[in-house]
Amino acid sequence: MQILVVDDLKSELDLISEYLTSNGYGVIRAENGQEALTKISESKPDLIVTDWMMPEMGGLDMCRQLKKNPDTANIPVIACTAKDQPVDRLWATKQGVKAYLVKPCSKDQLIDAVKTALL
Amino acid sequence: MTILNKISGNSIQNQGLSHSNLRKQIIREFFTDLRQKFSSPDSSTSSRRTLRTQLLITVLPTVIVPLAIASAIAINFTQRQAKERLKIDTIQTLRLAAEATRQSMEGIFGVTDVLEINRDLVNALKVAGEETSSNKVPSKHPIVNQYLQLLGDKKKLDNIVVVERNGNAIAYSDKSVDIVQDTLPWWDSVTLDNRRVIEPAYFDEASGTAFVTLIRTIKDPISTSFLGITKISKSIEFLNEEIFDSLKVKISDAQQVQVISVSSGEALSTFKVDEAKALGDVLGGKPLIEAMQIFQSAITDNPEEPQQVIDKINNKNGITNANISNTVTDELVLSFELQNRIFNILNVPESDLAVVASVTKSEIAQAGQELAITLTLIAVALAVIAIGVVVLLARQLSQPLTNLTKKAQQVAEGNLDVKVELQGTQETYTLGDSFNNLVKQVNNLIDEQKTVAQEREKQKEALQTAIYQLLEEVEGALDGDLTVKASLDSMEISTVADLVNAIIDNLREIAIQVKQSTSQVSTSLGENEKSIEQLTLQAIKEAEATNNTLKSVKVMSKSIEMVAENARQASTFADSAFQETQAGTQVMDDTVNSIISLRSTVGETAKKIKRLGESSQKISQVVSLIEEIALKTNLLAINASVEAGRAGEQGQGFTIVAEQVGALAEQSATATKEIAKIITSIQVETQEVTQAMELGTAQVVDSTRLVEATKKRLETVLERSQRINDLMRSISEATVTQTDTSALVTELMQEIAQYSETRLKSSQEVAESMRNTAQVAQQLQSAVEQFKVE
Repeated sequence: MQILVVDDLKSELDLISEYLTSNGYGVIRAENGQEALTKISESKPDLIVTDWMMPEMGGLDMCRQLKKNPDTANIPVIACTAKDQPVDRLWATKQGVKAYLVKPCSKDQLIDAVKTALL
Repeated sequence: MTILNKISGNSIQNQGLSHSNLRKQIIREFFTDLRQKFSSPDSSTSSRRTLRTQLLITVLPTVIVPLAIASAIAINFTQRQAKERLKIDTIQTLRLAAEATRQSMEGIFGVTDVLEINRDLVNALKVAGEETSSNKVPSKHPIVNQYLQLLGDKKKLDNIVVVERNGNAIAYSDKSVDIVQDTLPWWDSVTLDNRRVIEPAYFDEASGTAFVTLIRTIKDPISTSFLGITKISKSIEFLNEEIFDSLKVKISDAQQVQVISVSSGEALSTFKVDEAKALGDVLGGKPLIEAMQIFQSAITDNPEEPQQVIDKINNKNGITNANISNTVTDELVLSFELQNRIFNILNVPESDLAVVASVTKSEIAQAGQELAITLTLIAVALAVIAIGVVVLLARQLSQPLTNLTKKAQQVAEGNLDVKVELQGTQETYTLGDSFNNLVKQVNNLIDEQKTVAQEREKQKEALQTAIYQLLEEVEGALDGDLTVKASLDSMEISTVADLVNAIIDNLREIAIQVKQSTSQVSTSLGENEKSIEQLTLQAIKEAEATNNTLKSVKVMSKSIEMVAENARQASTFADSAFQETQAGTQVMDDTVNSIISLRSTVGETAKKIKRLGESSQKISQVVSLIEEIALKTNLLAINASVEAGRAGEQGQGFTIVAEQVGALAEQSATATKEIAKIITSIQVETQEVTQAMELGTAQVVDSTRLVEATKKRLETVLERSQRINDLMRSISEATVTQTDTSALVTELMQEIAQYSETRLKSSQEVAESMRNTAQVAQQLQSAVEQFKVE
């Protein structure tokens, strides 16, 4: 299982990667949406965990790009972001995000969301 | 919640104000809000009553009104009571006066009872009676006189006169008075009816005293036979003293009592509260006296129903409200109003005296007035005291609340440092305490709110900054730059930024697509334009060609129609030729037959003409005979004429006949020569005819041959004509079919022409819209040009 983790903060990137690898998932890393799209075109991951607010291209923007391409449209996306207003969740869901985690999220929350998304 | 929000919102608005001002502002608004919430919209502070006023308005009426009502009732009751009392008093006074009068009178009349048992007096009367009956002067009785004098002094009587039965005084206490029976109206009623009579009072000018005189019979105490009368005079002053003694305890200021003799209408006594007067005017005058007389006669002489009496008295001579009532002792009292007084009349029993007690109406009205005034004064005093107490009470009750209200107003104006002094009753005490707590809590709340407001202010500023940033970032999109991108730095509006990004992305994609599409459209339109024009031209040509064809077809159709017409005519002609030929053959047959019969007729004719020649010869023989006859006749005629000449005149007539016969013979000869000539010519002509006949017969034979040959030829012609006829008919039929077909073709051609015209129009329209599309595409292209997408 290959999971693409996207975050502009290296600490976050490390933490989430650590959570995932410790559960036996393979991890690909990207620091913004643009880079993530490149990575996806190179090797199609099974799931994407992405931050929302990032320079160059945000997580939801990336999600929209994925949905436009039939090859990538079905890759589930989990948003993991500090934004926690109801309107944020609503908007994210409308952009095709499958699960919404509010930072800081626990390992269990992340793993649960990943498992659910991969079902 | 809303109030707090408002406070925070307003605090943000007023951030420029100083701290304490801000605080005041907040509090003011808080309380204004509260006021608006809890007060009805139309009530204003000024139109509301204070608690004190409210208390006064509420409590004062509850004190004053019952007091006023009770006072009014008491005054009214007292007045009525007083009036009633006055009336009762009057009646009582009346009764008292009547009783006293009756007793006084009874006292005077009682003297006669004493006299009746005086033997000396009785004897003296008996003797005097007998003496006067026998017309003697009655003897005097000095002892009786002495007795009467003593009795009169004792009984305070002025004069006691004893009169014997025939009217002569036989004894007296003071002076003698004789009675003249006839002149005294009462004599009979006293002597016969045994009545007691009170004479009209008289005034003795010498002593200045008024007297009343009572008259009564004296009877024998044993036989009760009439002995005489007593006439007792008494000073009215003395009488009055007696009556007044018992009356003065009862009579009041307002009352006046008169003792009146009903029959004479004279007032014996008049009593007021402080005086008893003898004689005097009757109060109420004549109307009163008349009423009294009616009343008395109704009671004594002919008892009537009280109502009848009232009806007689009432509303006459100024009398009103007449009424008859019973006293407690069942005496009848007549009362009425007259001359502004109220009169009450009671008859003194067993006399023609009546007692009248009267009161002025104003006195009745005034009755109880003093008491009423006193009561009113007391009521007013009570009311003043009650008002004072209530005002004091209201002040005491409202003072703590007024203080509290003032403090609350101060708080409402923004002074939150106010503290209420605890005073008054338990409730106001608790209220004050609660108010202090409330102010404290409001202080705390406002502090909290301030903190919250500051936080919100910070958040708002952050939001504003974020919005400015977002605006700056995406501003380029307004000028068509679709490559802009909103950054997602702000926690607050990154969602909005993301939305803007999504929109701009979509716009960019659309712009790109539009650009591509428009250039494609332009290109393909450019390519297509020529072919469309060609298409149009072709369509035009096609339409023209179709139209031409249509015309040709129409011409052809017409020609076919003409051919058909001609064929029809030819057919008709052929038909008639055939019929003509048939008829010719028939005629030819007839001709042959005629020629054959002509041949036989000619033969016959030739024979007859030969016989005609022969007959002519015979005629010429006859004619020669006739010529001879004519010659001989002529000779005869000449002879006859000669002979006639010889005969002279007688033969003259015969000469004329002979001349005429000779002329006739000459004419016959001439005619005969003519006939001979004609016959000769007939013979010549007959010979010629015979020759011609013979020639004719030969020609007829030839003709017959020729005619038969002709007939054979005609039959051949008939056959051919038949065939021509058939041919012509089939041609005619063929041309009819052809005409139909040609009409169909024309119709089809017309349709084709219409189609081709429609197509022409369509293709022209297509060309037009292609041109329009090209224009639109160009406009679109130039519009999309402004979008920057790469």
